[in-house]
Amino acid sequence: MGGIRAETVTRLWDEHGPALTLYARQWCVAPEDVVQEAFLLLVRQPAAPENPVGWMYRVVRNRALKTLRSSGRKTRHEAVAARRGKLWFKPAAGDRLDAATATELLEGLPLHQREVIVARLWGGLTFEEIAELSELSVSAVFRNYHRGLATLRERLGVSCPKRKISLKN
Amino acid sequence: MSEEKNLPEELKQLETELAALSPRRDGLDPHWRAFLGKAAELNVGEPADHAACSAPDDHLFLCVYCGASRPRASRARRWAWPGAFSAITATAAFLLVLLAVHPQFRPIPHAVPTADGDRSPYPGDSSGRTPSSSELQFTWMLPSGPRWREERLCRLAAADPQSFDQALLEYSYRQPTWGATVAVNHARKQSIPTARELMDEMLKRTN
Repeated sequence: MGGIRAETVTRLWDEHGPALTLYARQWCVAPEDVVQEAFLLLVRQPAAPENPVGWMYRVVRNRALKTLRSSGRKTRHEAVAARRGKLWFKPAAGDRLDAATATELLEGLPLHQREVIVARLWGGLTFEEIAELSELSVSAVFRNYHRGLATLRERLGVSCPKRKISLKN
Repeated sequence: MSEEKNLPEELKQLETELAALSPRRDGLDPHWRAFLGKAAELNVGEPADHAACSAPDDHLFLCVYCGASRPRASRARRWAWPGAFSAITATAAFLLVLLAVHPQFRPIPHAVPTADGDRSPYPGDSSGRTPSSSELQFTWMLPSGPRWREERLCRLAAADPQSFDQALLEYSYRQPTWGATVAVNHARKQSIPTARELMDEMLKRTN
């Protein structure tokens, strides 16, 4: 193996595999394949990337977009239909916001807002890293993040008044 | 960043609620890990685990626990379209090269009935004229093969309208190769063999 150690790959897989899959799910119907390919590409690198996590997110994003572009319109519609009703999160009894509601709300967001929210909340990337990833300014990224969260809150409060979440203490 | 501090309190709470959710892992079975096989020089786990797989080099993914391999279903799907495209392109290129090397390679005109009841091998030729010697010799050059010999023989037989049907029957469908051989010999001698000559030769060889 060249630049990166197997232990590092294992750690990245354990810590970021699900989040990377969720991130890739924003674009394609088979996110697991995209993530697998990204890990294989990481392993084949002659030298370890300076920031492996950011590098992985960039590769996953590029590959997912490439998959999206190469798939036809019919496939895209099928992907949307396949995504619908499939939970993005593990259902857990203790969560105040249930997995189905969160999936439904996130699916309703525009892609540029959803991408930032997923990368920030579950990927743990900073706004600077997301800005570099999506080739936007930091201000634009933060604006998308802010608007996305505001939209989610509005939808939770207006259309779903009986949700478990309580926005006002 | 400074803007992050400007996030309203209610959005921060929602942020916390969302972040508490865990992304699904069932698509990424923890039993399977995205590690290369022996060929890729990455070894995670004990080498003995890898040895359990009968053909580890054929697979990209190995289980680090049991050593079994899992072929990827998406690989065939990914290469289906490029494979088909390459095959079509190669076929088209081959045909183009064939046309470039043999410009005479073109569809053979079928014999068409003319106004006076005769049949000419050239479409649009209503005069019922007999093809010239050079035309007939030229058509004998390329390509070869029984099927093409049959066609050429039909055309040659049409030069002699009186025995056209007999020649067509006898030579084209029974022994086209013999008939073609005779015709080529005649073409080398710069003469046009008649269908009767072809038939005589054919009968001679048959008997």
